[in-house]
Amino acid sequence: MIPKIKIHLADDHQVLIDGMRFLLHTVSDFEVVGYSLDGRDLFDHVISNQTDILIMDISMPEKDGIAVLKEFKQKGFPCKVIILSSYDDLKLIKEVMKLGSNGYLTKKCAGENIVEAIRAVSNGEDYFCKSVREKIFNSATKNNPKLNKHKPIDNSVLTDRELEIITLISLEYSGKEISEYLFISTNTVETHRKNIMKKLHLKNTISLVKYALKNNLIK
Amino acid sequence: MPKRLFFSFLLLLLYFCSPSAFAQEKTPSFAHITQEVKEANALMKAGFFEKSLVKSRLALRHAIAIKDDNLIASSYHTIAANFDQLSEYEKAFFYYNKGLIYANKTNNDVLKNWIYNNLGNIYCFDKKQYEKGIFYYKKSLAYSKKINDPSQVVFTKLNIAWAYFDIGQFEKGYPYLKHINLHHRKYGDSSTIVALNMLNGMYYSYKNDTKKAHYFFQNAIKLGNEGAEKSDLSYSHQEYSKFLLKNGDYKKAYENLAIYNALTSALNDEEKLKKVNVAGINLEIDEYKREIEKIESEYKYKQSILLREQALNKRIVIVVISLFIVSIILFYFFFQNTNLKQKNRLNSIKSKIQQNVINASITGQEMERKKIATFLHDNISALLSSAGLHLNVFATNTKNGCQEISKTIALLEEAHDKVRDLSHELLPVLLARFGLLYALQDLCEKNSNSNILFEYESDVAITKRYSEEFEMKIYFITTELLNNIIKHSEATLAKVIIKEQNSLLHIQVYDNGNGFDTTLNHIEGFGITQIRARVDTMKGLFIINSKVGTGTTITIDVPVFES
Repeated sequence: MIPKIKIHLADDHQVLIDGMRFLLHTVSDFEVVGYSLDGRDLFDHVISNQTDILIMDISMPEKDGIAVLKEFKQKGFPCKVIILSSYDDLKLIKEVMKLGSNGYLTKKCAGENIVEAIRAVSNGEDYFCKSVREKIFNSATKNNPKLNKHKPIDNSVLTDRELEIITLISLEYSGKEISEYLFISTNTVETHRKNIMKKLHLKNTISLVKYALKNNLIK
Repeated sequence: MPKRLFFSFLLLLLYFCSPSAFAQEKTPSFAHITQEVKEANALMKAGFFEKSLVKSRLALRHAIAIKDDNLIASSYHTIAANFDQLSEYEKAFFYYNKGLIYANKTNNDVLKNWIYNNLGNIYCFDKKQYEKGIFYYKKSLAYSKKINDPSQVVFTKLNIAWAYFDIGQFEKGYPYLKHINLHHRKYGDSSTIVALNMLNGMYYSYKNDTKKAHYFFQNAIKLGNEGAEKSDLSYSHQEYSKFLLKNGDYKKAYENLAIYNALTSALNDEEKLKKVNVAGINLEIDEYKREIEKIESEYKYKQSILLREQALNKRIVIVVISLFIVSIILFYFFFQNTNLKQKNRLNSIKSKIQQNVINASITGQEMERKKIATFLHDNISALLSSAGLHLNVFATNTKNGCQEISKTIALLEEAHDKVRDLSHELLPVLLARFGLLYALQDLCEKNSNSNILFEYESDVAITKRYSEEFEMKIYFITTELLNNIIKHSEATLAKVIIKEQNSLLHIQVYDNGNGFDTTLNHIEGFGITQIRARVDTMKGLFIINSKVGTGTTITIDVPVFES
C-alpha cells in the first residue's frame, strides 16, 4: 500500500479549512493530518504530525505566511509548502518562492488545481496554478518581439509548463535566466529540459529550437 | 409854527394808537406800562412837563424791564417831546434818536412817522441842517403814505415845502406846496392855514407875482392875527417884510420887521418864562439823563449777558450735537468692526471645520481602506473559495461534468478576481506584506511602459518598515503624484527618489514634462490641494518647483513614524 500523503492546512478561516478537508477527503491517498488557524507554533505542529505538505495562506493573524516561511528557511524546512492565497501579485509570488515555497495557488484555482498541485509538489516539482503560471510566463517574455503571441497548437505530448520552457530556451534564455523568470530552481529547469528532449526524441538544443519554430512557438 | 402844533397832535395819536397796537398782549404789567405812557403824554399835553418826564422815565424803566421795544420807543419819544417843548433841542434830539432805534425794531409806522418828522424839525429849525432835515421829512412822508393818513401827508409836505423855501429851492418845494393847496381844504386844519398862506406868498414873491404875493402875505397876517399860531404870524411878518424890501416898499417893510421883532421877543419871553418854570427840573434833568443811561447800560449789560449766555448755550448745543454725531459715527465703525471681526471669526471657524473635516477624512481614509481591503480579502474571498471547493467536490463526485456547475465555478472565480482586484487597489499586498519601499519600487516598475520610464532610487534598505499608517499615507501620496505625471505632464522620464535623514523621510518626485506656472494658484488643482493637506496633517513640508517647459519637481519632507 502506497503511503498516504500527509497534509496540514493553515488558514485563519474555518470555513475554508472545512472546504479543503471535504475536498481532500475525496482523494484516497491524501490525508489531512491537522490544521492551524494562525502561524504560531506551525513549525512545531508540522514536525509533530510528520506533515508531508503544508498548504498555507499568506495572510494570517499573529504570524503570517511569509513569517512562517522565513522561520522554515531559517530552521530548515520540515515539509514542502504550497501557498494558497487570494493574492496573485508576481512580486509576492516571487518572494514566497524565494523563501522556499514549492507551489503557489490562488484561492480562485483551489478547487480545480489543489489535487494536481499536491501531486506535483509531492513528486518534487514546483507548481503554479494555470493563471499564475501564464502570468509569470507573460512577464518573462514581455516585449520579446520573437514570441508568437498567438497560442500555439494543442500539444498532447508536452505539458504547458514544458511548452513554456521550450519557448524560453528558443528565445535564448539561459537556464539561470529561466529559473529567475519563472520563479523555479535551475534544477527544475534542467529536469524539464531533459523531459522535453526525451519526449520529443531530440538530440540537442538546436533541434529543440527547430521544433519550436516548426510549431510556431516563436517567430 | 406847525412843529409845535404837531406835538399835541402826536400825543393824541399816540394816546389812541398805542393801546390798539398792543391790544394783543394783555399782560398786567404791560397794560400798566401802557397806562403810564398814556398818563405821561396827558401830562405833557397839559403842560406839566416835569411830571410828564418823571412819569415817562418810570414807564421807560418798566418797558426796558419787560423788553418791549414798542413801549421803550414810545417812552423815549415822550421824553424827547417834553424836552422839545422845553426848547432843550439837544436833549430832545438825543432821545428822539434813541426812540428811533427802538421804533425801527417794531412795525409801529405811526410812531416812526412822528419821530422822523420831529427829527426833521430839529434839523431844519434848530440845527439849520436842511438837507438832513428834508431827508428825515421824506422818510416821515413815506411812513405817512404807508399808514395812509392824508392829513399827515399834507402836514409833512408842508414841512418839506417850507424847508425847501427856507434854503431858496422854490422849484423843488413847489410840487409839495401844490399838493397842499389842492388838499388843504379837505385834510388841513386851522393850525397850518397861516403857514400855508405864508408859503404861497413866499413862492409868488420868488415868482415876482407881486399881486398874488401881497394877497397871500396879507391873508396870512390876517389869519395869524385871528388864530393862535403866533410864531407863524411872526414868520409871516418877517417874510412879508423881506418881500416888501425886495419891491422897494421900505416903509412897510420896516413896519413888518418891527412887528416881527415885537412878536419874536414876546415869544422868547414866553419861552423864557416856560424855562424858568422848569428851571427847577433843569437840575434834575442831567441826573435824570444819567439815570436813564444807567437804566440803559443795565439793560445793555443784561442783554449782553443774555447774549453771552445764548452764545454759550449755542456752543454747548453745538458741542453736544457734534459729540452725538461723532459718537454715532464711532458707534457705526465699532459696529462694523465687530461685525467684520465676527465674520472673520466665523470664516476662520468655517475653514477650521473644513480643515478638520479634510484631516479627519484623510486620517480615516487609510484605516478605512485597510479595513475594507482586509475584510474583502479575508472574509469574502475565503467564502468564495470555500464555495468553489465544495462545488468542485460535488463535480468530482458526480463524475459526469455538469455544465451548470462548471459555469457556477467560473462565476465564482470571476467574483473572486474582482474582489481581489478591489482589495489590491485599496491596499496593495506588497505594501502590506513587504513595506513602503518595496511597494514604491514595484509601483515605478508597474507604471513604466514604452511612453514613460519611472526610475526608482533610494538609499533606504528595501526591507525597512515604518508604521502601517505612515506607509499607507506616503504610498498613496506618491501614487497620486505619479498619476498626475502620467495624466498631465507628457513626460518621458520620471524619478522617485527616497532618502531618510534625521528621522525625516525625504521624497522627491521629478518629471521632465510640461511643467506649469506655480505663480498661478488656480493651476494647483484639487489633487495637489489634497496632497498638500495630507502632508500638512503629517506635519510635513510640501514644495512644488516647476517652470513651463522644464518639468516639475515635487519635494516632500515628513517626520517618520517607525513601526
